[in-house]
Amino acid sequence: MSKILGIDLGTTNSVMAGIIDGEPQIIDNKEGARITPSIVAMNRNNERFVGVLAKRQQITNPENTIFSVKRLIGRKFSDKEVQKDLKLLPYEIRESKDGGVDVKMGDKWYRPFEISAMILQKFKNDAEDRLGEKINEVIITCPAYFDDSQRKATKVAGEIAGFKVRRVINEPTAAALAYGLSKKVDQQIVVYDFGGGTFDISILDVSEDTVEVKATNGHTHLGGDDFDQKIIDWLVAQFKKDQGVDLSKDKLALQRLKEGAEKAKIELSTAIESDINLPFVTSDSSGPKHLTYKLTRAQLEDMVKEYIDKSIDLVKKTLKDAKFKTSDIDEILLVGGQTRMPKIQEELKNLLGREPRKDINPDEVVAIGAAIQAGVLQGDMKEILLLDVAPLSLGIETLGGVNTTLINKNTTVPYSKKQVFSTAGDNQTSVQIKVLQGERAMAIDNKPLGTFILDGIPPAPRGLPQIEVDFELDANGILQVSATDKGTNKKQSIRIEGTCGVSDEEVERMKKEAELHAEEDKKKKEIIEAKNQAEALVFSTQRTLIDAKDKISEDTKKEIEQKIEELNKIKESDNIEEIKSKTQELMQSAQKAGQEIYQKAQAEQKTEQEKEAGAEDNKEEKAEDKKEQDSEEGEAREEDK
Amino acid sequence: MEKQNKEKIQKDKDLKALKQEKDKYLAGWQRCQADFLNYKKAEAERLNALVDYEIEDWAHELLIVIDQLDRARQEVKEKTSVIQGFLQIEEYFINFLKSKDIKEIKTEVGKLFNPEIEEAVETEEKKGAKDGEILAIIQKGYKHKNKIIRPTRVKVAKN
Repeated sequence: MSKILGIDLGTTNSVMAGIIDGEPQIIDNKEGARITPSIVAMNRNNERFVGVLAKRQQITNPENTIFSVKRLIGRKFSDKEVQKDLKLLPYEIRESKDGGVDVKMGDKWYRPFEISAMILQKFKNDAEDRLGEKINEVIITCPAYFDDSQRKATKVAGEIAGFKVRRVINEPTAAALAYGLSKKVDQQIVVYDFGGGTFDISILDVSEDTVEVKATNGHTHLGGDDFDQKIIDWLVAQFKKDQGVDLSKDKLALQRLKEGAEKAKIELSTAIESDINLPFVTSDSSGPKHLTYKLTRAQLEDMVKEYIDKSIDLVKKTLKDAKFKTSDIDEILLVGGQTRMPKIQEELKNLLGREPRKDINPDEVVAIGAAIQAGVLQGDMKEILLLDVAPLSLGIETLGGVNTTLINKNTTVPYSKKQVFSTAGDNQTSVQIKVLQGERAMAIDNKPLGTFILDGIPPAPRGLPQIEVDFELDANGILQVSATDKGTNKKQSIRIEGTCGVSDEEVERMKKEAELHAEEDKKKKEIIEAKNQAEALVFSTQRTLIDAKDKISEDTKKEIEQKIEELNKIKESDNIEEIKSKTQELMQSAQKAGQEIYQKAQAEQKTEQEKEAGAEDNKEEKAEDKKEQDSEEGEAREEDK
Repeated sequence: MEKQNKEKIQKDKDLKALKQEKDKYLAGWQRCQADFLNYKKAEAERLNALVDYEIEDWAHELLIVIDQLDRARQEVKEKTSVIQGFLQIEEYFINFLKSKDIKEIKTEVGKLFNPEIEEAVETEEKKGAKDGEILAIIQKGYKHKNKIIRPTRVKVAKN
């Protein structure tokens, strides 16, 4: 079955999305942007431009550049709104034969849905290019207040563009779908949509199998652009006061002010103040002039207070229309870029007593919802195969009581992981494998799942035997842990069932605990690591002292022995700094010894030739290898019975 | 005898069912492997696209700095060595952008305006100029690989 596209056909901008690899995703247009201006234009050579290209040529050709056509779609010419917009739109508009609206572009008159069709057609072509397949079906969103004829006109636009229109769904419903709220029965949802040029507020009631719009209100000429304008006006006034120059007369300066104002507005959503810095903004007889002002969040909030208040009043009115109390509302969803403003979120929270949802990009949430509806229709979103995940990490206890994780939490199962460990002591003939579940760094703080012992390991120096530990977690959450001594191929294993059976509450509690203790655990782990490193170094240096006792000077030997003693003493404490510095000191002394061995070997080589010298080199290399192994490899905890 | 036959029929039936099941699972497994490989490829592409997005995002900010240096240069009347140094900073930025595959869009005054790469920000009636002719470059445009990060902003003749 071919893909169904979801399109948020907006007044100023439009967005498309589809189900890709099972997930709803925004689809880029041909120009590589996620958002497409809802603008169509025709130049004198009858070339048609749609989207950003139409916008770029707008000023050269305002009478043939059609924007905001959504304000006219499906309306009667005599409608109050149309009469109002007539005065604001720079292109020609007339009454059509059936009492509807015609707009003029080039030498031809078009119905508004024909213009919308051109935008939808661009989306069709761009999406087919991006996805490399034909797309014949679409879901288009429209405002909740659209009446039958406006919806019909939207549908016709889709059909003209070459789509089979599967549904025309409400924008607030799409937002609720994007947030996955259609599945929860008996919920009342406020959708607050503050776009670039329009403001809509809707209250939804979700029941068993319907999402009903209980009430909707809005303002057709109130949007984020009004906020920008307030900042521009303020900048112009300030500059006039300070420099005596009226920037509102200078088209190019005004363009830069507009960009600066929008940037400051966006910055003030995350910062407390923003610098508007426009060097060489204009010049007069005295030379170039620079604009630099600081705008604080509080100042901006003050400037746009009337707009925010107006929107909040409309929320109250809509609640009243729907006969709901503020306490009846279960969720608040934010749509439109302007809702990123913290003040708006705060006011909503004050009114409705709960935090608004904003985890989905408010510019894209409607298109995402349309794509999800499309996915439901085309069957992509059905859970065909439900794969489980490991809810908590799985690992084993290693030297010093450390939890070494083999399978991380949230790994999709089935999954397996192998890791090689070694022994911690000389001539150790058995290792105990203690299987752990949890996120904490120390073994003792995690849940033990089971223990087994692998014995019969031939006596060997520590770090030499290779014990391969294999974790196998199958699709049903059954864990099989085995340990194999690679030298003898001796193997032991344990089967642990129900590792996914930890209750959700338990998972939550453990996650929280882990977060809480992360810092403390890190410290503990660091100390143990430092101690292990110290111990390994003491061990390998002692061995070098024995192996190469003839090649190290008495002084160096004494120095090393003293350092070892010091380190041994401090190693039992929890003073990590001291352990580290003493380890460092011993390492330096050991290096000195290494140098001496090397020099001696070279000297001997000269006199006695290869035979003996070869043996020394080998020894030295081994010592080096040992050191690396000790410090890098995790070692299985040894429990001598 | 009959019992044996019945058993045999039942066994054959079971075997057939098992075979079918095996084929189904094998096909499912192969599909899963293929899906995973395809997913990996798609993910790699997506990652590249994401890197490009990121580059374009910060390039956008950096271009504002270059614009302002450009504007400053136009105001320079006398090139002292300090000013010369500042202008070299601009060059440094431009070379840096070039190394990231971000290049200036070639727009020429006198040619016809093309919205694919240019944006009209001002119009002017001018005798002798063709309608739609570019009269001046207001702000340089840039592209990253083949994508327009910012179109050249131009003044266009309108007669």
